[in-house]
Amino acid sequence: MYCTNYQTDDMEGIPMNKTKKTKGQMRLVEAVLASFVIIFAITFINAFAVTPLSPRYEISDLEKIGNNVLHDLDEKGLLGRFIYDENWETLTLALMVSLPPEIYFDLTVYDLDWNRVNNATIRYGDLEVFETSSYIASVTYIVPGYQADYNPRLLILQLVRR
Amino acid sequence: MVAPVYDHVTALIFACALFVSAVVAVPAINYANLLYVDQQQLRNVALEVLNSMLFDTGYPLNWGSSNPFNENDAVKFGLALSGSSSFYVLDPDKVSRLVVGNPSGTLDYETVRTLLGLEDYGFNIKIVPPFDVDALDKSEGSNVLFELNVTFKNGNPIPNAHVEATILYVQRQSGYFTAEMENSTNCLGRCIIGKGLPSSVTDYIVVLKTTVANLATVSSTFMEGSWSQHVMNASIVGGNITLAIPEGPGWEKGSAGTRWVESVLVVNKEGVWPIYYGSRSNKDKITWGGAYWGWSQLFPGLSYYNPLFIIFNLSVPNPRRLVLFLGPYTGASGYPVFNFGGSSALSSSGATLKLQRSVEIAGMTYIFEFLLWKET
Repeated sequence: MYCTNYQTDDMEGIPMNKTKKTKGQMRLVEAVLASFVIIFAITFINAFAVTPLSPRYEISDLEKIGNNVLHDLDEKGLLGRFIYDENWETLTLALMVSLPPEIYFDLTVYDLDWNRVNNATIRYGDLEVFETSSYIASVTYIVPGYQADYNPRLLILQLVRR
Repeated sequence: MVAPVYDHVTALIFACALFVSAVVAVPAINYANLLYVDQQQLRNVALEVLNSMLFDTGYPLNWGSSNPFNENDAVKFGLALSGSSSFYVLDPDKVSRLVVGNPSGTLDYETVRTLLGLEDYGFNIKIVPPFDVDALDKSEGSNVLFELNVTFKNGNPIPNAHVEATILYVQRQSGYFTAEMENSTNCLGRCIIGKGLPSSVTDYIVVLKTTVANLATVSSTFMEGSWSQHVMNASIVGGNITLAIPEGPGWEKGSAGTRWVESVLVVNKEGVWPIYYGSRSNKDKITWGGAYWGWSQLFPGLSYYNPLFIIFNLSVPNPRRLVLFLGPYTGASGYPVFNFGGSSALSSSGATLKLQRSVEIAGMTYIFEFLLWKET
């Protein structure tokens, strides 16, 4: 891109050609435009990029912790005992002891018809935390029965990290 | 001629400035995402390693039970109990190899790091009880009195925790005696365990079993004033109990006199059980130096009782008397692994990831804490 100006000096009556090279300025304009294009492209792509957001992994870890704790209590035969004896206070205490202190939980026990079985709250932490938190992990666990009785219970454990 | 050169120089300066600002600005724009990627990478590595430790038995399958133990015995690292049908059940023998001072052999941090392929990372492992039991000694003379404080990990008190205490005591040279009592914590998580013992008592150990919501932890405490005397390097690997000569009051290096193993008791979550009575023969003799540096005995089938720690009743000289020793100290304090690995202060980025899971060791529930950070 070359730009040439032709001017005439009328005072002398002799036409004189002056050439002013503005090649460098145009390079500068090009560079500025190019950088704008690059920054725009990066910003545009960024908006659509699917990044591995941490909260998703946070939920995944909370789910693993929840499953691990329920499994551990079940293996010891405590989960079934607490549920079928309707010993909700002790179940709350067992979960509080087993889960890290910075994790709030809310457990609901249902029968097969999705009727809520626990008449007392099995929760650690304010209800508000569960209502306002954007990232709540939910774990579903099934206890088929206790001792020889087949009477399944569905456990929904919700977990939030403080 | 000057103007184009000037223009080119200006353009070059602008271009450089743009380049530098782009180098600074673009990562800044993407900083949050880069941070997420970094965190995700650390988290993925941590999860992989944690799963490998908790679900994998390692190789050979029972690498922790080999006796004598050599660091090179473990070709692959994993802590899961071989043959267990359940998840998160760890092998107490493998866990004991992470305890510093185990007289029957340990794995060091660098070896484990290499086996796990974590050369560029640092890590730390703790295996702790699900709740804390602190015993404050308020004993006077032979009146044993302990104030217990049972709390959650965040320090909040646990009311109605059930405490069963077994006091083992010795009187000069006669054998050991036991006394049992129980109590429950009040709304402040506190309770008192007290017992008046005979005035001739020379030593005692209190074994505490604390139960919260049917989850128990077993720990111990002992006569204060000379506590180092009461702890010795000992290990339980499979059915093999090993005891190394301790150092401390009554055990000064080179001090004369023979020590005899009078009896050995094993503590598991069900209680305290005598498993051995000494005969004052050479096999029960411990002295400084020579061939009697320690004591080791095989008890076939012992591992089925899930032993947590051992109490030794030893006859010591100058003056000749009976004393009680605990070992290994980590097990006796209720913490299978206090602190294995490096310090997170070495993290290059300052980011440390902590993962924890409930695990079962010797029939007891513990919290397995795993810290991982990037070092280079």
